Amino acid sequence: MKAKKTVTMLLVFMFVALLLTGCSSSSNAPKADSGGKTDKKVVAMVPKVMGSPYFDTCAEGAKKVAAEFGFEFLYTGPTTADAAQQVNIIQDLINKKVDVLIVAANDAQSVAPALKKAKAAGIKVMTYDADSTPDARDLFINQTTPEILGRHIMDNVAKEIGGSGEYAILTASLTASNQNVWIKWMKEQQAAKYPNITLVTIAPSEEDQQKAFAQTQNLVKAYPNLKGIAALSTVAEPGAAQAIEQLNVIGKIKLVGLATPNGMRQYLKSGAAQSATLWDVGKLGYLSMYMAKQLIDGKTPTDGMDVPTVGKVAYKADNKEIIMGEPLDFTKENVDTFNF
Amino acid sequence: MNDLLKKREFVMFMMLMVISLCISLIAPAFLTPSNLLSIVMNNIILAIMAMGMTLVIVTSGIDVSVGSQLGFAAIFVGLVALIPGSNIFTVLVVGVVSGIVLGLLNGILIAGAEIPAIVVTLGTMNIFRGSLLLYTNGKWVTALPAWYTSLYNTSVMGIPIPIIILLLVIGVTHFIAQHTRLGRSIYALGGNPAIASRVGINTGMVTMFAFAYMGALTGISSILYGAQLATIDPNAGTSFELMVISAVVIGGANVLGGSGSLLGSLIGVLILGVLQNGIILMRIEPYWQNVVVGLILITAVTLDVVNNRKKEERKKVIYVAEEVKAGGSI
Amino acid sequence: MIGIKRSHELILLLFFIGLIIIMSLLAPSFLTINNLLSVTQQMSEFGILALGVTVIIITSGIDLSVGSIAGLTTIVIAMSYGWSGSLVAAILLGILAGALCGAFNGVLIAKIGVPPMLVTLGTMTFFNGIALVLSKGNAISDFPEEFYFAGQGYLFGNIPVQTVIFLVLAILTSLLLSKTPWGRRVYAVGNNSVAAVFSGVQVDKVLLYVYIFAGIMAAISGWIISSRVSTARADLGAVYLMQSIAATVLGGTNIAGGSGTIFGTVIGVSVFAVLANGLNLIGVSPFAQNLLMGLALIVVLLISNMSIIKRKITIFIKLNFN
Repeated sequence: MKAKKTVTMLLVFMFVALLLTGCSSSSNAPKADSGGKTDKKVVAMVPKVMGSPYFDTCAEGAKKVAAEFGFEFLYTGPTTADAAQQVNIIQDLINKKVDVLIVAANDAQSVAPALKKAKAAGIKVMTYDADSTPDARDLFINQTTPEILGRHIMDNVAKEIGGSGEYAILTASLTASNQNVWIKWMKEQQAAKYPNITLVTIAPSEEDQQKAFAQTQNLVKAYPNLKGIAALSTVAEPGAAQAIEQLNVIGKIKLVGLATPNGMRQYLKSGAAQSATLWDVGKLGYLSMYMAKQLIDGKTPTDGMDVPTVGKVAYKADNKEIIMGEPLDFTKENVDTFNF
Repeated sequence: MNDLLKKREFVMFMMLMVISLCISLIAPAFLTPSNLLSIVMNNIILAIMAMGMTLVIVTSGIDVSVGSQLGFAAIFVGLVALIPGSNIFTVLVVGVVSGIVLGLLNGILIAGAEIPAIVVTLGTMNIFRGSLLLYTNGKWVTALPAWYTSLYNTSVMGIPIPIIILLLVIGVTHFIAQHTRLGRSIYALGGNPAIASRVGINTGMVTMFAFAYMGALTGISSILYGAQLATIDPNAGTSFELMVISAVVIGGANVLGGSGSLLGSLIGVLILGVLQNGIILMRIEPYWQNVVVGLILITAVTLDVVNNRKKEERKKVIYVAEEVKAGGSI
Repeated sequence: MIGIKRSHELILLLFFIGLIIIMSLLAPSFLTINNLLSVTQQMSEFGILALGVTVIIITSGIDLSVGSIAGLTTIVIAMSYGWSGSLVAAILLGILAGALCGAFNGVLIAKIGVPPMLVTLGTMTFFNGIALVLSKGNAISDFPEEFYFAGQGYLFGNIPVQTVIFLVLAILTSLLLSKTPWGRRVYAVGNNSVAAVFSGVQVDKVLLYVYIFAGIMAAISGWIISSRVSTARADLGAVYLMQSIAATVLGGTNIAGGSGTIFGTVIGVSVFAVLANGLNLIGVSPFAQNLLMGLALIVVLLISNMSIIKRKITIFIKLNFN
């Protein structure tokens, strides 16, 4: 009697779970688990983390082209920017037998073994946004290089604070490897071109807006001569801008960084932030999918090739790397022309 | 008994003073009115939620879902604030009600099904966050209207509104804890649940109240969160539960239940806030922050046990005995 | 008491089987040898963490620092390999570091008597801090090829090495708990530490070893994670903390101590791993995975507490409607 009830309860739960999974999967991919049966090519895109406006915009760009090309588009990734979780998802996608895998690596080394496995299983492997090791993938779609970006942000800092003085960096987290590389290039650029500028500290914001807000206030208090802040993540820059507004130090502390135009619009307009740097993220998604098509068709990209809607892109054959171009600064003047 | 309790808080207070002294010797900017105000303002949400968590921990419960609750309520508050025609009252109602609903859900599962609090809230932590992210699809709520965000930096009679809200929360919580039968029941339940229910306390109701109250305070915090930051990330509040619990624990609340004071928790909040501020001000490399915070936590709880272990035991016995008397006379 | 425990394990097993049936219906590639093997590979790391956590929870303790210990271990292994050039020495040092972390927890808990949750809340931050200071937040990846064996290698053709390590450790832990005097003492401490003292059990010693054991498990888990992802980083392992506690509780270990089995924990870990893998194969939003994992935990416990709920409802109806 009791056992029967237990079983009934379990069945009910399973049914609910089934409905839930059914509902949410029908929205993005009705026949997602191809198991190699359909002839429609399946392209899977794996961002560093789900639910980030940056990666979601990128995926939207990719999705549009995928529909044009008649690909089935899958978009899934870890819920926290964690390398181990991302590797699990890549493994699952290999077992699912997708045709192309496009990954933004949380850590270059970490995903390399899984990507090599995918290559061995006959999957075309690409990376975008953040690379793995070159031998682990067929192509890397780079928005720009860390060197260009790091130097560019440093130039922005120098431009805003006027060539001399103190600035601080607000980083996403102390362990984020891409941030550490950008910071390295920022330091090099500063040493080479701006001897009168000093970096006072690197403060972590743990990808948390409130923390970014509090850290900015602390920085302003701790360094009375501080003239500028470079906030290197899409969460940190809005938090820092809000703090600058609340402290009423608009104009006294200049803020540059990496963030999306939607996140920064109000602050760019109020003057709490001078610029936010990124690239046209939708185009990055478009370009990734376009190149996926090239790989499926067995074509090799060429240097200076013209990609529809994206324009001319550079190709480095030795590293199998596509470079989309220079970073883009969003400022008070141009921010309204972007929406992501 | 009161002396002992005071002594415990006194020790933590002295610790706070010593830390502050060290910081101000190295960083003169620390001891300025504007810096002290910003420490308080930056930790108001932590303080409000620590008040609720103190009561939860006193009942021998724990709530690890508060970070997810905060994100959940904040997103709903933000969405409502964006609807034309909404005002401060609709926002207030939505924040507090959604907090209470989430907290009550925890309370019902804990009291009704007798599943341990840590297990229930571990589950609901994932459920709240998962459903929130599924609903928003990770999209931020941005461009909150000015009437809402101005709540954070408007002052009434020279006192910023968030501080007024914090003082109200402290007052109400203190009143509940010290001057009502409910408050006595909360302490009695944490001290010894068996005796508590024998003297006629409806333990289930008390537990549900503690968790619902926690939810209500999280709801209030969520309103301030949106007002402070003007944009709300659906990941808002991730891991914040650990901060709240740490503050309460540094403040001397006993995770086994039965003891814990609001004053202690407030000191705990200040210690964490001063440290975060001080490490930047003293220009220490940020890598050291976790080492310092961890060491202070460990020292605080260890000192506490070394000083009070025997006394605590004795106090508990006396306390329960008093509760029996008090309960008997109700 | 034993009846309740059995019924929980039965419910969980039914749940697990149901889950497998649903997954294989919805995702044709789920029920393939390769996929199932990769499920076992994915669950090994947090499974090993959960083994240590299970033993601790049986003593009515808890350890929030296991994730940080795993992260610290990865850094210790990487740095000591850099100094010594010997991989074996580096791994041994890493495991030693884990044991020391566990001993640090254990001394504060067993000898001084600080509640486990408080100690490990502090050491969670502290150990992570040490790892950050040592590595300056950077990822370290100068490992030799042989290091990848534990996390990426295969035995007998296609059985992942970490699956084998996990199974061996699970069996060892299970034997330790059920067949040795130490295991009996662990349960005795969890059931009633006062009674255990009176029956001659040295509670502090038992507790000390329990936390050292969990530290070692965390270190082994950290070693495997770092070998699988070819990297050492301070925050590796942190995401597994809550999962490993949830899986242990889902597996029927009583959070108040005194009961629990390794078999249950292994099933609990498997449920989470199958859920994550299956939902990925079906193509469900990963956000729904969090939701369903939380729901699974609560539903299974609700069902196994059904009798209590029924009693409460009856009392409630009696009080209010009669």
